[in-house]
Amino acid sequence: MTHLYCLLAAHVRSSMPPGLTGLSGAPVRALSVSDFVAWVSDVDRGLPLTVDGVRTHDGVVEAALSTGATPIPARYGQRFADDEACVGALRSRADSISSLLTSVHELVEMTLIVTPSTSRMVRELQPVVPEMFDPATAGAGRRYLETLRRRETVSGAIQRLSDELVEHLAAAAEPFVRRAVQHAPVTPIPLRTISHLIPRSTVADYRRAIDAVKTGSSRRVLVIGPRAPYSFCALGAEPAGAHGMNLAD
Amino acid sequence: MQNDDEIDPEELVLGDLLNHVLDKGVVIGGSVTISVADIDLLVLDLRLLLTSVETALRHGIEESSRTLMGGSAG
Repeated sequence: MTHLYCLLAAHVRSSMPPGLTGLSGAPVRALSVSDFVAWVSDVDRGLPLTVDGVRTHDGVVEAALSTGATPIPARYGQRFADDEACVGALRSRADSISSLLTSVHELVEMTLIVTPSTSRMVRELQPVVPEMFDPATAGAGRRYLETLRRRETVSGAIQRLSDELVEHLAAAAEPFVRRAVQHAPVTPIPLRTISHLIPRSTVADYRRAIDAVKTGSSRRVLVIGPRAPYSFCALGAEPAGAHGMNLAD
Repeated sequence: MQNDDEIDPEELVLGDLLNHVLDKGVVIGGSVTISVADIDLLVLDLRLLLTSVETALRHGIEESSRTLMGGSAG
């Protein structure tokens, strides 16, 4: 089968690092499609889904980014019966892909994660459940409600701090940002993840601007990137940065 | 030096990497074998902060892959 890693403008084909390997150590190849190329490799049908596999996939995408061009990263897990099937699927969307490549030209994604500073803060926000309080003991109901109220107070304060910090970060990043998306939370943890699409040439200035934002002792900001624009590569009706797998036709 | 209670940035980075690679990027077609939203993978944000990420994820992913890949690997 053929595993798809990413798509690049056609002129980048010759820039593939020599000896680049992908999943299971298979050599990465470039398939020409219209005015772009797809970086692919052969994979076995039953290749397991592992953390290492995800890292390898992203490693190939990173190698593409390191050519100096901006690739469109493929979401992990897209396999085709063979090269012909892959090329056929890409050709059927060639116009959209070409437009997408143009739209991310010389841009990269930076991701900000705003998180509480310590694991203790996170644990303090764990849900309070009635089972934690023995109903046979006197005052258990009242203690439960008091704990619930206290937890809500803490949670509200932390959320507000996060909101304020996200606003400050957005203001600091604004001069550089072409597009932005705040990812929907997937857990109850007060973790905020924001992705910015910025010119590659401004990464250092962007980092300096983010670093200059005061986070306070209870918050921390992690800056990830530059990387391929995973959050800005939706085709068709799929919203940018959306969570969830939208199967293509 | 990092406080033991501080959240390990590497765990956050790995969690974010998995979120991105499994859940974002262009979808062309072919045999898409992963259905992140239907399994516990993205609870990883929480697990990454509180547990050993490699262990938790490897368990979660391999368990999920057994379930998903068997029927839909295409």
